[in-house]
This record gives sequence, structure tokens and C-alpha cells, in this order.
Amino acid sequence: MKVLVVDDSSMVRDEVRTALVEGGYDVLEARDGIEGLEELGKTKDISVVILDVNMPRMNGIELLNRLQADKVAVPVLMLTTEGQPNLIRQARAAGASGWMVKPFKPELLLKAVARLGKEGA
Amino acid sequence: MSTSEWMDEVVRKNVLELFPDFSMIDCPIASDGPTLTGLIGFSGPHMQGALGLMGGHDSLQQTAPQHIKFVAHDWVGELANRALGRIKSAMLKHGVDIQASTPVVLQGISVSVVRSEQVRTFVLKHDNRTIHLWVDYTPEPDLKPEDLTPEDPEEILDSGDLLFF
Repeated sequence: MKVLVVDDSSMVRDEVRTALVEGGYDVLEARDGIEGLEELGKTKDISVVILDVNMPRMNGIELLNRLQADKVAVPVLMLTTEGQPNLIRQARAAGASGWMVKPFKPELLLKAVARLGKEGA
Repeated sequence: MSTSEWMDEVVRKNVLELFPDFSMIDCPIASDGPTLTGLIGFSGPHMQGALGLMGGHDSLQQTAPQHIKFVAHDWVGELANRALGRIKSAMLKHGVDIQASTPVVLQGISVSVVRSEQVRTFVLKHDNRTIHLWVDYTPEPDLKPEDLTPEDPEEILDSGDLLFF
């Protein structure tokens, strides 16, 4: 199962990739929403997207809005330092499937990805 | 308790929770050599300002996950983001909503921060390693805690929380 990790921090991407690879997932990476959109256009069998909110060029909410407008149906787990209800509501309205606040526990991330992967299958 | 006193307390509590291995000390805020600094601006109807987080390579590495490759300029921005994220959630529970910019990272420069009424400095120490964090903020004039409408704390997510829609 392929998981796309979109985050501008290379260390966060590394941390998420380490957890997911140990869980048996194939991991693709993007540094911002624009790269994420490109990756989703290129690779059709991505099962889950893990998406940061605050990123340069195109943030996570903007990417969600693009995916919704383009009718791209893929489960998206937001992974961010933010915990504000208004942002969570925006993400939900734009089609996100879940929200997790950093720092994260690897085992909880794996459970979330497994659940979203099943929902999207 | 004055507005700035309770805001200070919110910042102090959340900074200490983010750096559990460090203790807070009182000393002048000036680096003793080249550092990395993460800066984030924030604003909202009740409060605006900036958060800075500064440390040397080794001090910052001590706060990073040990099983992944350490990239200092990346980590200092992420750490500043996490510090402000905690403060934002805690402030929101009091009814203070702030929006933040993406972090800017300055590398290889020595920084000193001038203390003033507006600049709250928090110096964290672990053995010989130091991290400086400062929050330069201006509350809305005449703001009183009783004038604020706190968000429902149940709706605000904290570090490590997971919510499915």
C-alpha cells in the first residue's frame, strides 16, 4: 500500500517514513501542496495521504480544496501542530478523513493509516 | 492576575511541557556562538507578536528524535512551530485566537534579545546546553480575561490527539 507524506519538514517526513516503512508501507514524499498534487497526478494507486497544514507555496487546506475540486478521492490524514477547531472544521469540509496533532506516536499513526487505507479500498 | 501575567503563565507551562528534559533558568538571552533561530509571526484580534526559538546545533539535536537523521535548520523551524502550536491551543482555551505564519530560519548568526515589557524570554537549560525561546507579544489594549469567550476545550486538540471524521 502506498502512502504519500506531504510536509515541508524533512525530519518530519523522515520520522513518518520510518514509522510507515516499519509497518510495511511504501512511502512517497512531497515538500508542499504543489509537489503533493504533482505526485498524486503521477501515481494513481496512492491509498492514503498524510498532510501537514502550514507549508509554503500551497498549504494543506489549499491542497484539500484542489483535490475536492478535481474530484480526487483519497483518504487524507492531517498531521500538524495545529489543534484549532476552525481549522479542523475547514479540513473536514474540504474532505479530510482525520486529524492528528504532532508530535505523534508511531503506533497510533500506523493504526490511523491502516483504518484509512481500509476505508479507501 | 493581569492579562500579561496569565498569558506568561500559559506560555511558560506549554514551553516546559514541550521540553520536559530541560529546566527553566533566569539569565540574559544572548547566544555564546553561532546558532540557529526559528522565527514565527502571529496575529489575532486579542494578541499579536512573534515567537523565536534559538539554540546551537548540539542543544537542538538533544530535543530531536534520535532515530532519524538530524537536520538542524529543518528542526529549529519545526520546533518553533510546535512551541507556537501548543501556545495557540492553550490560548484558544482562554478565548485568544491567533494565526501564525510559516517559520523563517536564520542560520549561523549570534543573536541577543533585548528584554522589555513586551518581550517575554524563557531560557531552558539541560546540562551545558541551552535553548532560548522568546515571545514578543502585544495584547489588545485593556484586554481582560473576563472579556474573552473561551472555546470548548473538548473541541481543541492537543499534542498526540487523533480524531477521525
